[in-house]
Amino acid sequence: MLLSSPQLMVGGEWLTADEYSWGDLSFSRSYGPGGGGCKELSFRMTSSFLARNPRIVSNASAMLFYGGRRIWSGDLQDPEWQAGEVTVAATGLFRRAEGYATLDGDDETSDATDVPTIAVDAAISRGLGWSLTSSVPNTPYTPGTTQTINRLNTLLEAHAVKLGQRWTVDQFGVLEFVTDPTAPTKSASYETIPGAVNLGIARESYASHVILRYILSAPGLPEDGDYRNAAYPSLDSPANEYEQRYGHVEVTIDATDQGPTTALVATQKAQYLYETSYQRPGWTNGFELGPIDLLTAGGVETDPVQVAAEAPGKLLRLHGVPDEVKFTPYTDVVIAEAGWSADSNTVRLTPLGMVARSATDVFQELIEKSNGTYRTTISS
Amino acid sequence: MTTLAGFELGSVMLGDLELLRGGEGAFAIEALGSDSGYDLGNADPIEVALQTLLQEGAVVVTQGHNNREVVIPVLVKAGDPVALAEAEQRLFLQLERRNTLTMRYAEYDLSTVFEVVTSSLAQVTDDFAEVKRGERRYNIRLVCEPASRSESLVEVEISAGGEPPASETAVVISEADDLTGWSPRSDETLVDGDGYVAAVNGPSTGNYVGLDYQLPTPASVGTTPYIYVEWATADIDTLVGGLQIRINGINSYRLSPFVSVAAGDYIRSYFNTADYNSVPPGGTVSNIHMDVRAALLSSTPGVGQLRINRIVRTNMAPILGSARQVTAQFPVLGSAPAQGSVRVRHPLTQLGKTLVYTRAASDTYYNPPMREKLVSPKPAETVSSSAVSGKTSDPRVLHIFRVPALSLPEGTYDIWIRARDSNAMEQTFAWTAQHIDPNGDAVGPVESGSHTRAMSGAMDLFNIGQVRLPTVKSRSGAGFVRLEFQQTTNNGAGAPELDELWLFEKQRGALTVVRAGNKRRLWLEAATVDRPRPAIYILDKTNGSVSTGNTADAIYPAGLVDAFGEHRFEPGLMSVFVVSEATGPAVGIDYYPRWHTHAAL
Repeated sequence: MLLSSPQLMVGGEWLTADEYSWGDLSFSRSYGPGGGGCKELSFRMTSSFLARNPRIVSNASAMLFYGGRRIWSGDLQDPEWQAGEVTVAATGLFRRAEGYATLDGDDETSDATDVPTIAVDAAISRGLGWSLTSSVPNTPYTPGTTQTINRLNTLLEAHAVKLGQRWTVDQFGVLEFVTDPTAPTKSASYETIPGAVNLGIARESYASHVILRYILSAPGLPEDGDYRNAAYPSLDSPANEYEQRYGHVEVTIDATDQGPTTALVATQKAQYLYETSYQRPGWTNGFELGPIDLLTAGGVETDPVQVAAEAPGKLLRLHGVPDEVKFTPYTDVVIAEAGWSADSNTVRLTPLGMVARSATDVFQELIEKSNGTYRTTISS
Repeated sequence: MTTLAGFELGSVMLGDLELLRGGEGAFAIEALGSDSGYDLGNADPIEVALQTLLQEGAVVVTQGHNNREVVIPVLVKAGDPVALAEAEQRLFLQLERRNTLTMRYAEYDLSTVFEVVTSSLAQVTDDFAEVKRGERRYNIRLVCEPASRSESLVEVEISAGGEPPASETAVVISEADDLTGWSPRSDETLVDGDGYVAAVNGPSTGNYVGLDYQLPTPASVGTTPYIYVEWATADIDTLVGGLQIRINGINSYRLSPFVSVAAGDYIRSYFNTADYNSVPPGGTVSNIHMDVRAALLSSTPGVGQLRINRIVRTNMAPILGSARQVTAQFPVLGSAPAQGSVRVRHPLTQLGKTLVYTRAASDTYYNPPMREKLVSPKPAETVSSSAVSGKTSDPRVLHIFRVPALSLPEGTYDIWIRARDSNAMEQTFAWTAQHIDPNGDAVGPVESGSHTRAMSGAMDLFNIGQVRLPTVKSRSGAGFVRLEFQQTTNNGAGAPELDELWLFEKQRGALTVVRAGNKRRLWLEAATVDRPRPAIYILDKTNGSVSTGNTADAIYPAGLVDAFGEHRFEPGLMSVFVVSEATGPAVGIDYYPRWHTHAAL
């Protein structure tokens, strides 16, 4: 049976119409944390020894189409020219936020802002190429203060943490704040047949209580502020089902560099961190699934290309993998990342909460964490 | 042609160089047999193994084929070193580039062509023969495309035949409201149901249920050559194909993709009495036999019914609203998938924004346009001479399409619409899809999505989503998919119009959309030996046949290609669906039939 291949458009023109052949296509989509949406894409292309293909240049736009539908958009990274071929990677639209500051206007006279709608609107006027939806917060991160300039992605991530949400930018450049699914909705989920996968548990990321150190909003400068603790769940509350199973573990997080905040917001942050990162042990592995192993909620065999383009953020029910806490014969995970590559026509799925296992992964995680910290200063 | 021991020899040509018994002037080239390493090779399947604990062994899926490697050993003879060098030069000129290897079988007057991707030459040292006798041995290694092909191009073109008749003349053959004229097949029994006549299976029915209708007076079908039957099944597991009919005892040609939903969830299938001589010109219809086949029909008598609601003859072919959208079906020859070209042309009218969709049609009733599948509550429809569906409606009103599940092969579907907004504002289009079982109940997951885009004041074609269909696995293949569509915004409060909505299956199908503007011809060209990738051309010169004629102004429509598909044809029946702004364009395909190794034509 012949299968159709997705088609790539680079710099506004179809690559298939180009003089040189291309192939080895892969692409991925993610759901966060740290922003989500179209993530990475790569392909290889033949090249002349003597001249470079003028279409393959850094920062050219790249769009992937499946049938007539755009399923991925982003920007080319720096091509790697080799003898007779070029390897090209591209990053998705959400990564553009790293190159924009949180200003409220389109020139240098504008002020810093911590309101996402204002910062994104101004960045759009400076060329960001996104559009806003009503889900994007239009309120300041810290009311009544003047802000330092952050990178746009750290501002969005800070707001997402505060709201207990994630931010994604889809293939059309639409920025959205979304909440994790908690139960399989009939349409927004997938299932694996029993025996297709297994899932390892890693308790190193587990905590039964998140204790957040913060500065209480108070008149005056931060050094005069009142240092407080927020905890979620409350330290003296009865043990929940996770604590009963995996024991009492406290984790402390210093959020004092994020500026003064109210007790309510601090508790919300602790709750978000607890629910998204610590509540249950992490997973040790992802899955490589073909159309036969991975079914839609309606029990229909899946199309790996479509799954990679749509699955992140949706729920995946792993039949045959019992849940130790809920005592169900299945485990539900949220799909954090999905990747497809042409060589196998299978889809790689990574569950949310997968724990870094190799030294490289751990190091990468540290870098991402240090880059992504939202900072605020206060002037009187 | 050389004759060797009374046997007529064919030839083996690499480009324009004869290898079998070639050479000229001072040198000769002679291809050697398999004792010396001659080998046509094989297409190398790319198999991906997926480990599963569900069964013993692994699930292995063939994803495609890698190139095949052909080896041809040749012996070069000449009287002097200069002539030997010349032979080597001639040989080497054909190598290390794209080329063709043509094997001609003289006995059958046909050739097999291997498309050479690249090649190389290795000299074989042969016991001082190169010194003693002035001979050179070489092995030519050819990396070829996996499937071979015929030498000549197959070209087929159909003309869509212009606009349909202005009004429909439909004559009911039977309303099936009593048993008069109906007779059961073999040991089956007949039931006079509520508005239908049903054949119920008997103890030794086998895999078929069927019945006959004898017309009280034979009906002339001269001016009403199309017959449609509204039918349904009950308690039948896993239908194979759809309704088959015989008119006057002769199998009738089913207009394959045309199936729609009639009132009461009956499926309407169309047949053409003019084809295959089921009714000779000027003839009459006196008897109609109808049956369906099931993979597993219950052996319990009384379970499994074929219900007939109505039989009608009409002058209206089951067109798709207007001749601006055309479904053409072509048989594809060969034993392996072929790369094919699609050509759309109109002698007079510009094509405008043109959509071409191709898909294997052997297994299905599937046809992309959906307007004819609108069910109540229907939005008000306005007849429009410029609409490709023949009608427009207000997209702000909910549209419900009910599509027989057996006309939707399992796959991933692109949802496209043709619409406009008089004020050219940004609008949002939302859709949902859900399965309806044969009892009429909505079951299983609801798939949904929405798409927002800046609209144009002129009609435009665009994608609004993708969906995996069917939404729920159905063992029998019966039931319906209910697709709901609506424009959920009313920005600018203009006068939006929806022309047509399409579902394009894209895992196996290929879709190309080109803004052809004022051009009257559109070519989607398959990859060739010289240019190993598909190409798209628009051109205005209209003289000439499908592929020849004046092509001087053919150019790639840079920046005007909204979707770029690679159109490949699978052996069997291929469906080509075209939407353009020209009424009744001619649609043609051409391709080289592909074969495993040896071409048969």
